[in-house]
This record gives sequence, C-alpha cells and structure tokens, in this order.
Amino acid sequence: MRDWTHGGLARGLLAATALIFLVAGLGLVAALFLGAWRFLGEPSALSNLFGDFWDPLRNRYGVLPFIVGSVVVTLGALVMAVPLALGVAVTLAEQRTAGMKDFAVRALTVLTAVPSVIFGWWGLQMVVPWVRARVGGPGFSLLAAGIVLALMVLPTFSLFFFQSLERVPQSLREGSAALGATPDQTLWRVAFRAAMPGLTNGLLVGVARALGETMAVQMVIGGQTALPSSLTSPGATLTTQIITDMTVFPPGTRGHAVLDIMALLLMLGMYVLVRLAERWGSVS
Amino acid sequence: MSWIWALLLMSLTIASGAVAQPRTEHLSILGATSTLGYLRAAVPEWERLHPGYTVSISGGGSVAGVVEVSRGRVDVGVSDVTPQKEWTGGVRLVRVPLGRLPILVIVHPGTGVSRVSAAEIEALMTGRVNSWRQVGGADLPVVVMSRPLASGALSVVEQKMLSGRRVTTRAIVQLSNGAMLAAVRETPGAIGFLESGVVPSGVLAMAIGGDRYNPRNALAWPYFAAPALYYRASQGSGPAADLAHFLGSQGYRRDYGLYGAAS
Repeated sequence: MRDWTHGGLARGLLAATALIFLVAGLGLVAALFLGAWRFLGEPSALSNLFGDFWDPLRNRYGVLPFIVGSVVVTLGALVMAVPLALGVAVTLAEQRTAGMKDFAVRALTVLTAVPSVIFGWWGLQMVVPWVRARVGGPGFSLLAAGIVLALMVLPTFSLFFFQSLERVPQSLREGSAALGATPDQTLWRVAFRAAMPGLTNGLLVGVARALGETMAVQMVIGGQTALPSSLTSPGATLTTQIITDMTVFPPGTRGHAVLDIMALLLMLGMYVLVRLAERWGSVS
Repeated sequence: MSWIWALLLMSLTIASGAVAQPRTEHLSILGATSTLGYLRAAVPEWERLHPGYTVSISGGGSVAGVVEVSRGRVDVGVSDVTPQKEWTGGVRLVRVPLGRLPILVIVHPGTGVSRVSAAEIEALMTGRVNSWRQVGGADLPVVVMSRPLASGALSVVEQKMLSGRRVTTRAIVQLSNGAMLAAVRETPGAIGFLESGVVPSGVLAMAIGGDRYNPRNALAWPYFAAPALYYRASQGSGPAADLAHFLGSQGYRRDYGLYGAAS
C-alpha cells in the first residue's frame, strides 16, 4: 500500500481540514465578542450584568442567578458522582476476571453515549417527583438538576478513573504490599497518588460536561430567573437560560448581546478547565 | 489515493442524481407552538391541492416566527404577539389571522380553588399571595408556573390578566404548552396558564372575576391569544401567500381551539 500521507492532495486536504477547524473556532469566538460588545461598550454594563435580577424587558440583565445556578448544580453533581465513580473504578480495577472487566467497561462506554434528553426525561419522571415527595417544594430544583447531572457524568468519571487506576504499574502495588502495607493503604497511598494526573483529568472532563449540559438540566431545574435561595429552589444555569431566551432576542438586540456574553462566560469557564487539566492532569 | 477518487466520483454521482430529480418547491412554517396541531392537520390538504410543493412545520415560539419570516429564513411565520420593529427590522409583513385561542388559568385540583376575583388572580400570579389559604383554598404554597419571554400566551396573560404587571420572577418556567399542563397536573399547589380550547383532564380551569370558560361559548371568554400567520409583503401573491390564506380560512380550526375570526 502506498504511503498516501506523502501525497500532495492528501496533505492539502488535511491542511484544509485543519484550517476550517481553526477558522470556525476563531470565527465563533470573534462573532460572540462582536455580539457582546454592543452591551459591554455601554456605561455601567458590568454592574447591570453582574446584578442578581434578570428581567430583559425592563433592561435588567443580571446574570448572577445563572452563574450561581451553574456552579451549584455542577458542584452538586460532583459531590454525588465522584465518590460513586471512584467506587466503581476501584471495584473494576480490583476485578480479576477479564471478561467481567470488559463487560463493565463496555456497559459504561454505552452509558456515556446515552443522549442527555433521555436523562432529562428520566429526571422529569423520577427525580422531580422524588425531590417533591422527600424534600418538599415543587421538585423542579437545583437539587434535581444536580442528581440528573450526577447520573449523567457518573459513567464518564468511572471510565476515566478506572483507566487511570489500570495504568498504575503493578510493581508499585507489589512493592507496597512487600513493605507490609494493607490493600487499603496501597490503594490510598500508592495507587491513588500514582493515578492522580489521570483522576484529575477525568474530573475536569466530567466537570466540563456538567457545566455545558443544557437539555437534561433544562427539563428539571425549573427555569426560575431569581437568585436561588436553597438547593431545593428552582433555578437556571447559563446554558438553560440561553436556550430559554434565544428565540426572543434577534441578533443585534441588547438581549442577544447578553446571551453572547453568557456564552463567552461559559467558554471562559471551559478554557480555565482545559488549563487546569494541562497543569494538573495528564493532558499536555 | 484511489479511495479519494472513488469518494469524489460517488459524490458527483449522487449530485447528478439529485439534479435529475423532478423539481420540488419547499415552503417552511415556523413559530408559535400553540397552533401546531391545527397546522399539521391542515397543511397536508394544501400540499394535496398543490402537487410539487412540500411544507415543513416547526415550533420555536411566537417571537421566533416573526423574526425568521422577516429575515427570509422561513416562508411563513406563526405568532400570537404583535410584531415589533426590533423583530421585523422594518420588513413589511402581511397578517393572516387564525382566530382566537382561549388562554385558561389552570390549577392543581388539590388547591381547592376554582374561582377567584381579578384582583386575586393578579396577586397569585405576581407572587403577592403565596398560600392558597389566603384565597380560601388548602394550606398549600402557591407554585406559579410560567412560560418563556418568547411566549405569546405570557404576553397576553401579563397584558390582559395582570394589567401590565409581570408574572413573579419566582415562577417555574415551562418551555411548551404540554410541559405546562404536565407540570401543573403533577405539582401540588401549582397554578399556570394554557392555550387550549378545551379544559384538559387532571387540572381545574379557574373562573376569573365571574367569567367561567365554556367551549360552547368560547368567544365570550375574555382572555385569548390571537395567533396569526405572517408572510413578507414582498412575497406578493406567491405560494407562501396562498398557503397562509388557505390556512387562515379552514372552518375546522375550531376543532383545534381556534374560534371565530381574530381582530
């Protein structure tokens, strides 16, 4: 077989693909900046923007409730999902039967590909009524959104954590055991420490997915635009508010400019996560 | 490299096949979700009368309907709010009314309230009353359900029912008529509003200020949206205009909750 990568046409096609990707990415950021500037260029834009009241028809564009919503829902999902995912990963990593391990990994991989609307639908049918019955209130809440997100990111976390633990050299575990460490001590003080870059990387990928999730969260969070007063209050996130209001603000309007700013805030959040992954994870 | 040439050849074959197909004109309708049921029933009849045309229908909300038709991205927009210049960009639109679509205030049956005064409904929806006991009902917190800003129904509720006041910012936002009905049906203490010609099961329709909705006398109900189809005046008497006027003239609109002729 000829080495086609040395062909001029193939090189050209690959370069064009890379160029399209670069232009599309930069174009997206530039379009958001240009759209956002209409609002950011106004006097007292920032105090309006970081206010706690969203009522665009009265020129109140406070996005603080959505920033709080995004952070709380993501943190809630992490608190619930990370310990469970670590449990799944450790159980799989300690599993001696290769067939069982293979089956579990495939099942987790399939679960990572489940469309988010299915998680949202399940959340609407099961989680919202459960929160309503157990905690009170309408059920549509930051808590319900956190639970749905936790279930969504659990397979992603589990796979990343498992693969990180699998990469820990057996010699380290054996060395630890030879020095008299118990299996628990080996797990906590050797395996987890050696796997830390991979675990961190998995954590950040999961956080990025949770922060950017829209549809499943939208279906259960309640869409309330006021600053949430508790975990059981309805709320909204940056992504859910963009999808709720995007049809009411055509390009060129102030409302659309604020939605552009919200999109930029999300991209900034993702950028920070990527940098953290580079710094502490195994992405380089 | 042979695979690249095979791919190019295949693309060219597919493209030439498409060119050889008989020409089909495609029209698109987008906008208020409240009229989708009627449009989905009526459009196939227009397609049957106009061979060679296909029509796609999608939701997106009243404001999106006006915006998209004004920008030429769809042929017909559906909206139950009055187009504003900010949305149309100054493009002249022709309005074809579809009728009156009643807006009902619905509550969870557990609230124990099915009749309120105009002042009470305003207090409930704006968040000034937060327990059903305050309006003679059960000892349950009031859970207000609303629709997004793009909703024509929300606009009508705020203008006609709440005298220009806004629904509380503590309201839970439901993205569609169907989601609103399901949420009110399942949430104790819930109150919301619905564009519907019939009172759905599982909820109570509120009588307001002495008016009780009755489908047999729907035109007497004071709270209604007036959905209309819009096409660009520049489209003249073309197929989009023909489609809009056809849809605006079918008698069975009332089977879908669209009563009378809208003003």
